[in-house]
Formats: sequence, C-alpha cells, structure tokens
Amino acid sequence: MSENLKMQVKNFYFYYAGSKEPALKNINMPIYENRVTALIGPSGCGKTTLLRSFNRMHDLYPGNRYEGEILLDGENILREDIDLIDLRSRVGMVFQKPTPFPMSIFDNVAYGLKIRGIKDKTELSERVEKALKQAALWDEVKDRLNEPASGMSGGQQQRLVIARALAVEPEVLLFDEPTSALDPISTAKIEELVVQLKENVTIVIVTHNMQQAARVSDYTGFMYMGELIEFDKTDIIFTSPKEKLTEQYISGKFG
Amino acid sequence: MISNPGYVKRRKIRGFIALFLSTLAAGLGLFWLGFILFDVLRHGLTAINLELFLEDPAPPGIPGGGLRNAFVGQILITFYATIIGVPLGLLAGTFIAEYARGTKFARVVSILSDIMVSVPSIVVGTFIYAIMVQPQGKINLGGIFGVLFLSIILAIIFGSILNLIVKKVIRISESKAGKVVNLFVTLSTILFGLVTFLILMPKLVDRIHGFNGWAGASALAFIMIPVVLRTTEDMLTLVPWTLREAAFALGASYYNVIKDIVYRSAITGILTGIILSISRVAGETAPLLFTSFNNSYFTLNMNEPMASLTVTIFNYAMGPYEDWHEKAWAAAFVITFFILIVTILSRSIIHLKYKNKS
Repeated sequence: MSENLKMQVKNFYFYYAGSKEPALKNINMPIYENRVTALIGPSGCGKTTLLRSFNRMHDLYPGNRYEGEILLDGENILREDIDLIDLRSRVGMVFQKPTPFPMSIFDNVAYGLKIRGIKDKTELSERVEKALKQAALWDEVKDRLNEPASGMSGGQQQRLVIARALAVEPEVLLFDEPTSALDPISTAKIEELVVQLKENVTIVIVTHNMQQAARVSDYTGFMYMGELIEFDKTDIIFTSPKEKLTEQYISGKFG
Repeated sequence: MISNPGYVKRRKIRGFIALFLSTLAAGLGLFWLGFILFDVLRHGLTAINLELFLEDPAPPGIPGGGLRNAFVGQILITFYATIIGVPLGLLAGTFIAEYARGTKFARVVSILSDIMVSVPSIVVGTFIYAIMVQPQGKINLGGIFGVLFLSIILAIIFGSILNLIVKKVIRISESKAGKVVNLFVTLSTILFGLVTFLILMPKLVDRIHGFNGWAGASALAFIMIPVVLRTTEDMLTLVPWTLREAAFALGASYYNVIKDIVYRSAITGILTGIILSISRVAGETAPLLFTSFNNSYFTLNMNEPMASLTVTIFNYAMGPYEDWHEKAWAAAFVITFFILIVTILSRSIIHLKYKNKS
C-alpha cells in the first residue's frame, strides 16, 4: 500500500486576531491521499483551528495570521495571492451542525455547481444525482428533490451537506465534528459514508469521539494545548502510543 | 404542608386586581381605536363615490368634483419615495450588517439611523425644504442636488458594467494587476460621474424650482431609509453565521453569499420592513406641506407642486365648506384602509413564514 502525500503542514503557527500567543504552535504533519486522517484532543486544543486553516476559513475574520507553510500538492496555500474561491473548491468542508441553505434539496446540491457557471440542466441533474448517490441519500430524496431542505431530518440534512460538498468534486474534504449533533443511527451512517468516500477524496476529520477516530481513520493526530503531540497510523496511536500524554488521553485519564 | 390561608387569599385578590386593571387598559385602548376606525368608516363611506376618483376638484364653494389629483399625486409621490428610499436603505443595511460588520463605522451609522427614525417628520420636511425647495432667483440647490443624484446613479451603473466587463471578459487573477485594474475602474467611474454632472447641469438644473413633487418624494424617502436600513440590518444579523461559512466553504464569493443565502433566509423580514416603511410614509402630512405643497389641478409632472391625500385632508378639513369636509372624510377613509390593508398584508407574510418553517 503506497502512500501519496496530498497535503503537508510545515512549521505551522496560527495567531487569532489581537492575540500574541499562537493558537497553534509549530505543527508538522502529513495528510495522505485517499486516506482518512483524524484529529483528536480535548476541547480547546486547536484541532478545529487547524482544520479551518486547511481551507483558510480564518480569512473571513480580519486580523487572523498564519505562519509557516501548508502545502497542497506541493503548492503553499498560505501564500497571499492564492485564490480563496479556487482553494475552497478544491478543499471542501462539512460543519458541526447541518447547514442546509434555504432552498430546495436539488438547489442545495446544485449550488456549488451553479456558482461555478454550470447552467446546463442535464449536466446539473446528472451531477446532483451522482453526489446524492455518493452521500447515500439518493433513494430517500429522489421523489422530493424540489421540496425545501429544511423539511429533512438532522441526519439527512448532514448527508445533504456532504452531497453538496461532493458535487463540486473536491480533492480534500474537511469534516468538523460532523456527528456531534446527530443521533447514533445517523452517526453510524455518516461514519460508513466517510469510509466509503476515501476512494475518491482525501479526508480530514476532527472528532471529540475517540471510538469514532478509531473506527473511521487511517491516521490520527493527537493535539493538546495548540501543539501536535503525536501523529501516526491510527492503530499505533490507539494501541502503542509513544507519548505519555497520548496514552493518558486515549485511556480517558483526562479530556 | 406549609400553608397560610390569609396569604394565599391576599395573593388571589392581588392577581384579580392586576387582571382587572390590565383588561381595563386594553379595553380602553381598543375602544378609542375602534371608535376612530368606525367614525372614519361611517363618514367616509357616505362621502365616497366614483366621482371622487375620476374628477378633479371643483372651484371652492361649488359642490361636485373629486380628488383625482390628490389620489394620483399621492401614488406618484409614494411610488418615487419607495424607488429612492428602499434600494438605499436596503443596500446601506446590507453594508452595515455584512461588509462593515463589527466596525465602529457600522455602529455609528446604526445609532444615527435609530435617531433618524425618531426625528419628527416635520423636521425632515423643513430640511428638504431648505435644500430642495428654493424660490427663483437664488442658487437652485434643489436642481443641483437632483442632477448630482442622477449623475451618481448613472456613474454607479457605468462603474458596475465596466467592472463586470473587466472581471468577466479579461479574467485577472494576479493580485497586483487586480489592484491596478480596480484603481482604473474607480477612477474612470468618478470621471464619468463628473463629466455627466457637468454636461447635465446646465440642461437640467432649472427644471426644478420652488415646490415640487420630487422634494415630496425625497422627504418621504428620507423617512423610509433609516426604517428600511434598520430592519434590513436586524434581519440579516439574525441569519446564523454557520450558514454563511458553509457557503464560503463551497467557494462562493461574498456577493453570492449575500444574494443567494443571506437575502433568501431573511427575505420575509426584509419585505415586511419595506411594506411597513411604505405604510409609515403613506400617512405623513408634515413632510409634504413644505415640499410638494399642494396643487388644485391634476398633474403628472413631478417638477411641479403636487397634491397629496394627506395635505388635501389637512386643507379640506380646515376649510369652511361642508362639501370639503365630506371629501376630507372620504380621503381619510381611503388612506386609513390602505394602511390597514398594507399592515395586515405584512403581518400575514410573517405568519406565512412561520407556518412554512414548522
């Protein structure tokens, strides 16, 4: 099993606006192509902050500052002149709470395509169908594509959001605690989906739930107080971690 | 069981008194409201007829005639006030809630519009009088403002088209070149505005002098802008941030996010604000007294003094003729029920929204 590097974080520091203390300190980690990488750690450790750096979500709020490098296919995405719209179509994101747009199910999935100028109706409906099938939602919604997305259940909404992100065919998909607002059955469905999706995209997932990280990921990074304490294959992290802190967290001694 | 029968009894009495007093207050308020509505309805209905809408006023003291000039004038003034006031309020509200969110500037504008909402409308009327209605012979500030406003709108249209052409046709991705292009677009827009102003100025400036319909419409727009601005700002702020972030994460530009996601989420609230602002200004008399004044003749020319229902009611109700009083009642009836219907309409829009959500 050969591993190709998709992204690489090099000597990465992150500062929130107005703060002199970095929220992330000297992060170095690889993200391998077509693998699921999980980020775990106690609340406030910086895992979501790191995830939101991968598609430069922090740029929405003035004053935030990056240092170091994050490479995507060898290109530094932290460069000033990088096109954020382009970057965000290559690196998609799914949030903690489902965020369906106030429009129909079809229009939700087609939105990313429409803002990229795809107007052809047959192409749109083909792509929407493909994305909904990838997100394992097609059979449930194929007869009510024109109904508002707000009428779906929470789990369905979250899979709709995943379909919406998949429709623009991103190379990397970021998940920010995607199941923390869902019931166990919907959670299981999303986890199953994440494992299936890695055939097509590279996945980074932030999770509070250690069992979830163990179930879905190939690689795991353990973060604590803004630092990446340990990064390795998931089975190594969960069976024989090298750092004492990691072992303590895994065994539930804190966090 | 801990109980104190005396205390419980006193509590019940207090409860009864509170209920009685609040019911009485509500009843008293409702009584006067109903009385006014009933009185307008009673007098108005007897005075209303088809002539009222189709004929112009007869000379004073001679019975007959109608108020066609006032109806048409009212519609025109309110229409143009909406055309001027709603886009300005909407765009300013969007700017405050989105692009300038959290800045000191946004807070200052927000507070200023709160003050402007509560400024007495007669102050607005005299203000517009001072800048837009000037007797002949003096510098025609009204005309200059009108031409300035027109040139700014033309320049904005020109600038947007130029921007669109530059960004869509000649795709520029490098940020340095982008800055130069932006500067070029800005400068040529300003230049275009200046040239338009200088060309139009001598041709148009003396079209408007003295009392005129535009001044009336501007005064009403002036009242509408802060109302629309504040409701728009409030409604946009209510849209959750995660929704915007989700759209940004899909690679949407801020323009797309506002147009497709934020406006769509807040549309009912914004519409309600717009409708309420229209009904608010439709009943205003004071700002029109000094601006559009009045006109006994029918006119569609906004550059002339123009009749309106509210000013007509004011004049006719004060007049000595019984016939005038009747017409004032009819006009009051029409305007009251117009506002009533508009308010009910906006309420039902809100109702519709919550019905759809559940």
